[in-house]
Amino acid sequence: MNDVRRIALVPVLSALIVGSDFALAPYVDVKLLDVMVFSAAFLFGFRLGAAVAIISEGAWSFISPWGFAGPIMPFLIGGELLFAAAGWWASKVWSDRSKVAQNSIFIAALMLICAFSWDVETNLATALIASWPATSLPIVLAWQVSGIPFALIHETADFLLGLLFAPAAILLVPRVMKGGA
Amino acid sequence: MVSRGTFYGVVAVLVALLLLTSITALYYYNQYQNASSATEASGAELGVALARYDALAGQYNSSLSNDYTTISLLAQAVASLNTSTPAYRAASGDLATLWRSYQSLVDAGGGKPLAYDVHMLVDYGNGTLRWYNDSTAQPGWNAYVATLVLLDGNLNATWYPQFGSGEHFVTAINGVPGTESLSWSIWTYGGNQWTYSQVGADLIQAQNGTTIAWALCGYNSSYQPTCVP
Repeated sequence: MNDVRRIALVPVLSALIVGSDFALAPYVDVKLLDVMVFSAAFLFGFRLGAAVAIISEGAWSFISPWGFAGPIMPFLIGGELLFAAAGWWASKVWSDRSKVAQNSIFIAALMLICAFSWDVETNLATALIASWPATSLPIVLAWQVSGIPFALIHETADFLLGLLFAPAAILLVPRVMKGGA
Repeated sequence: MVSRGTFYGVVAVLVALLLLTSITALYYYNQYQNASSATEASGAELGVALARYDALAGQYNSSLSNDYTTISLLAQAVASLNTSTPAYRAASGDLATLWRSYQSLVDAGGGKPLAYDVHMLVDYGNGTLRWYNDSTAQPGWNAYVATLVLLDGNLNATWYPQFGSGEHFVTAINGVPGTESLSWSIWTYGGNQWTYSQVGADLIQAQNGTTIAWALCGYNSSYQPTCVP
């Protein structure tokens, strides 16, 4: 795939992500963002996946129905890069795309680990921002614990999307693009 | 030989399971902690509430005791006040209300009022009889005060302080007055018969099970009633 098409994919995928974010806005912790960043990195490499993560998460941080994310925005984007890195790494480990369906449980597990890391990282950042400079371990733990119900939903959703959506996207997107070329 | 991809995949699945179970366990542990704290708080609140309830119950019992004393004092006042005074008229009407209120309060508290069972018959002399059964009187009341309470104050009398420690001559019951030829007389019941009382109502002490009657009777030349309830 040439560079122009690769570059064009970034805004297209970002637009899809932000659109789906709005569509899923009522379900706060269920988003296609993570799995699409993962799939993009799996199919097109870390740089493209990271670009999609930065642009889509950055845009969502500004225009989400809950308003501007504020100082937590870099942490949200940083956490999203985990999915890009995981997608790229998964493409190296499970490079045989014909077996992606068999490996879907592995992808789902990887998505869950990323979602967990994202939750821990963003909860930590929230604790730092909210309590700085009086931040302490109990405060950080309290923020982590208070986020558990949301984290459970987020991680379960990412696991299921990793199980179903990611393998489908990894199989179908190349065929669609090949057909359109 | 397990491939590298399968190995990493299995590791990923195991880690994911570990994370999922850990966070779920943590979630329920946190729920447990919250519930435990709430239970402790509720227990503490319950302890405070119980202490307050005990204090309140003590005050309630004290208040009931004071109420009882007040009624007793008021009964004594009614028994020795001139019936034409405003104080008597007010107190004679309120005494029955206060007595009923006291008994209701004791009942509501699960207790049993300190009271005697008394029964009273009013014979209007024209064939009309009215019983006041299941009635109560405070220990220490005389028949006059008991009658006054049982009739809700619907009793007219003239006070004669010069007789003994003071006597009431009943002139009307429930709005039915005596006439030139008929007067209200008081009777006591015992041995399956009514006995005309040789003393006034003020000198008949109400006891547990006392039964009295008021009858509108004529009198003969010996001042003995010409009727029996």
